[in-house]
Amino acid sequence: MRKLFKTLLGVSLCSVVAVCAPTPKSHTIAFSLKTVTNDDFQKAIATSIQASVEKAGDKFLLVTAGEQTAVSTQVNQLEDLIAKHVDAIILNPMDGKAVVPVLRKAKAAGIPVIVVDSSVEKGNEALYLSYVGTDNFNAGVEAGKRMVKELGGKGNVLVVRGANGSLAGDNRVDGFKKGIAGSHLTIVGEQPGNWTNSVSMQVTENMLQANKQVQGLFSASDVMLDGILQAIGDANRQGIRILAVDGSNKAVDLVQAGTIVGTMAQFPAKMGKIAVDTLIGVLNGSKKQAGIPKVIDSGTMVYDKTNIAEARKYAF
Amino acid sequence: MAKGAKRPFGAVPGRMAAWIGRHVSFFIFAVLAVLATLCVRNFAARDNLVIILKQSAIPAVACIGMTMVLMTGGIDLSLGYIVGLASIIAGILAKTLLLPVPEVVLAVLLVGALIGLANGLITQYLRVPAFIATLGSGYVIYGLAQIVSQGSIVNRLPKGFLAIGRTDVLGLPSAVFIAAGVALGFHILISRAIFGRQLRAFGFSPKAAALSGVPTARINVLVYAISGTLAALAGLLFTIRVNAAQPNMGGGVFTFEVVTAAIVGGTSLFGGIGSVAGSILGVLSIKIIENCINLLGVSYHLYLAVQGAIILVAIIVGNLTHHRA
Amino acid sequence: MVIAHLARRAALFALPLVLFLVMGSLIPHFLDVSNLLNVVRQSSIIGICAVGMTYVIIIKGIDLSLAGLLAFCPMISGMLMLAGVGTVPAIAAGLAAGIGMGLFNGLMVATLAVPAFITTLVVGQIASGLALIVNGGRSIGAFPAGFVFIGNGTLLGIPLSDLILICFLALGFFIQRKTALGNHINALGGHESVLRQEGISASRLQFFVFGFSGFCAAVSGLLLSAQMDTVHPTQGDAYQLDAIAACIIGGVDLAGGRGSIPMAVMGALIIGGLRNALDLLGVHPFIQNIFIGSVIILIVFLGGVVRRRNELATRGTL
Repeated sequence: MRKLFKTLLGVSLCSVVAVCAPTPKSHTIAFSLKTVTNDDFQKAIATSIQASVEKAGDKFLLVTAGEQTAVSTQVNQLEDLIAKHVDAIILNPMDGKAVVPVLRKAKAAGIPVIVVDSSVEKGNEALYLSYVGTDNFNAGVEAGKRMVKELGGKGNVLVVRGANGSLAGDNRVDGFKKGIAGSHLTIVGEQPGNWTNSVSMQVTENMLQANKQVQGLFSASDVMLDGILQAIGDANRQGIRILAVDGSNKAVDLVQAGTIVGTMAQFPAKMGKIAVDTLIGVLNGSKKQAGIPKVIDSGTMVYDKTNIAEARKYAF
Repeated sequence: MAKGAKRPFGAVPGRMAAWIGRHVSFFIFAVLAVLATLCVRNFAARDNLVIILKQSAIPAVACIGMTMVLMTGGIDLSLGYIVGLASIIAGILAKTLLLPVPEVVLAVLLVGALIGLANGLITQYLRVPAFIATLGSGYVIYGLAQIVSQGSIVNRLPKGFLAIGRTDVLGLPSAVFIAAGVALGFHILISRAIFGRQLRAFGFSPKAAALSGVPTARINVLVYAISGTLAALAGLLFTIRVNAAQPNMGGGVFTFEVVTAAIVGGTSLFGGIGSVAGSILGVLSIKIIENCINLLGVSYHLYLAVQGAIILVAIIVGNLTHHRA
Repeated sequence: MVIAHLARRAALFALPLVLFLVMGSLIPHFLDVSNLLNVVRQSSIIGICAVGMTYVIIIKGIDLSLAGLLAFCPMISGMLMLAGVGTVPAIAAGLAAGIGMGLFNGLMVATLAVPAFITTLVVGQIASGLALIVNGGRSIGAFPAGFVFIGNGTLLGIPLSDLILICFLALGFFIQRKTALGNHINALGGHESVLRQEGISASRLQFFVFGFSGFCAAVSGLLLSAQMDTVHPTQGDAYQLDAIAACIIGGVDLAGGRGSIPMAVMGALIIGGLRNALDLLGVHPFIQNIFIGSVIILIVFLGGVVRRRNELATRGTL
């Protein structure tokens, strides 16, 4: 609450100051993404971007589509940002194809764009400065391989997906399936948890009911773990090895307590900081557009019992 | 059946049709239950039936409130968002501020009641159609829930708080009994007390009801206040069930689920017709379908489509024996 | 007398006009021509849906299949185009899908007495499910240039989307006010006895209304995908409630019998303009929700006040 007021106050003060006294040009940098509500990962990226932007003395603008799947809303919002003549855009696209036409408009308007977390459709590299992120598919593959190790190569696994139509979630699950390919692990149940605990609990309850022998469970995000764990607890099932993706503090707590095996960390704070530093460099002229690498990998790793201390450093 | 009255083709004649006609929701529920028992392995297992009851309890609570609103010819689109606001308030009060449990419950229910009251006042006195009044207030409530929570969730709630809904009674969590109590209370209110008759009269024709002395303004405001309170209760119980307080708990999807359940249970969108028993059966029917879809392992992409198709068939079958309004 | 009558009608338009001018003066860039054209372009999706939805609400129904059709119909066309089928036949297929599902809704309502709420909700869910499953939940894109031009091109400086919206507005208005069909639709919502006297089949009207609504949804969906050069399986979700809200803001009565298509389109523009204004102002997303909710209630409240005053004033005259 206080942070919000501080932001609002800061923004209004800045606008007043900007009107009253000529100051060195402060840039407005907007971050467009799906939502920060009940999505610690996205919130962590946004917080990191906001911190870096404000540290540089610039103005931060948060623009969310509101829902996990409101693809066209994000496109409309990007068009509005162009109409608003913002100085730069950081974009986490909900659909890598749908944003292409509007990215062309941004380029025509001379607004530099950096893409974070989810990528834009291949073939459109000229439309943005750089992509900073990790591969959700890869995170899934690593989780799959780890699951194979945990279950000794065979067993039944349940998968709790994200919302239908969510590319990030789909990629993670597809990666997981690739990771377990070739082993004797079988996915006996796979339902969308819609990124919320109430739904993840209901589908896990039902899947556990349908499958009395389950040795492992993969959740497309830490966000759904509360509901999943309640369902497992209520059904009195012991010993199910659980892996998730995100790398949040909540998940690290669960790893430490031994409730889950591990979580695939991607480093949202790092993503945000790299994106902002690169953008501000370009805006100030200190960085040359040509010299920026097209893909900047912000890294991925698994947090498990062996590296809790390190996990705590980055967990959000 | 009167000659010449409009009748869908293939109607079943006689006394059986009349009985089914009066209890369509039960008929649908019974057919679904029988089909599920026969066709789906593990459906009739005791622990599966317990799960269905657990999953139905909370939507049932919300559905009772929505049914009353629908009976007046209105709708409460803010229901799902009240669930979310109630959830995050409950979480913050119980865990972050460590308030005593009775105070948390009271505060949450009060918030729901006040929001419902606002909905009712806007609908009745500002003459804004319920659809817009509750859609608008729903957006406002969602924004408030996000601001209050700063987008984050509160999990691992205090045990004393969780005990409200998670205490084991006869093999079922206490939440189920709370829902049953609420259902019984409102069933008596609507089917036996004058309030129910007044509600139906208001739903059929507000003008005629007013002329015959029904306190229409009070009733119109009251049903929204009740709906808001029950939505808040549902949010509270949801939070306890998943042990996590989320600002986006419920939401628009939940609202639609509740309205669909009410309609399957025989409530008419135009007002005047509806019952607590019918709506509860509607909720159970939908949860049975969802449960079977999961047990059968239907592809997650087609989940909603299959559920919808079954509901459609259920309503058609119900209609074939009785002409709905 | 005539002037007073016209002035009362004008009062209904005054509200959005005032809103527009207020926003224009307070918000930088709102009145930029490019921005206004954008707003119309963005609102055209809701606007076209609202044209079809108005008829449905007039006959006391509701159409909840928009969300699904907005994704499924363009998905059909898109897959055909990517498979090499010509743009025009592919679009025709998508439109046919929309009309077909709309007619199915009409069938359910007319012959099986299924509440419109249920059948349209179910058809929408089925359409959504199909849109998800035909490509494994993934989106498709990179369509032929002709198709993309429909969504992003301009004619004499005006985006094609805006022109398509205007066509639908005109079509809907024409049908409603100038044809017997329109009269019958209004009657079905308000005075069913009139239809029975004239021997007009209510079922046939229901077929038309739901089929037309499905057609409008298909057109909107195709237009949306042309704009984004993408079909995303969940792209329709955000528009369902907005389309209905647009109609109600435009004064369409949920109890049936009354509604004006131009006003419904105005409602769509109001919603689109509102979101645009909030984006331009840079309002925090959490607060945007509060704004939108409050403003929607306020507009409908004021619109209702004006409408009731008009009705009171015209009672006894004409």
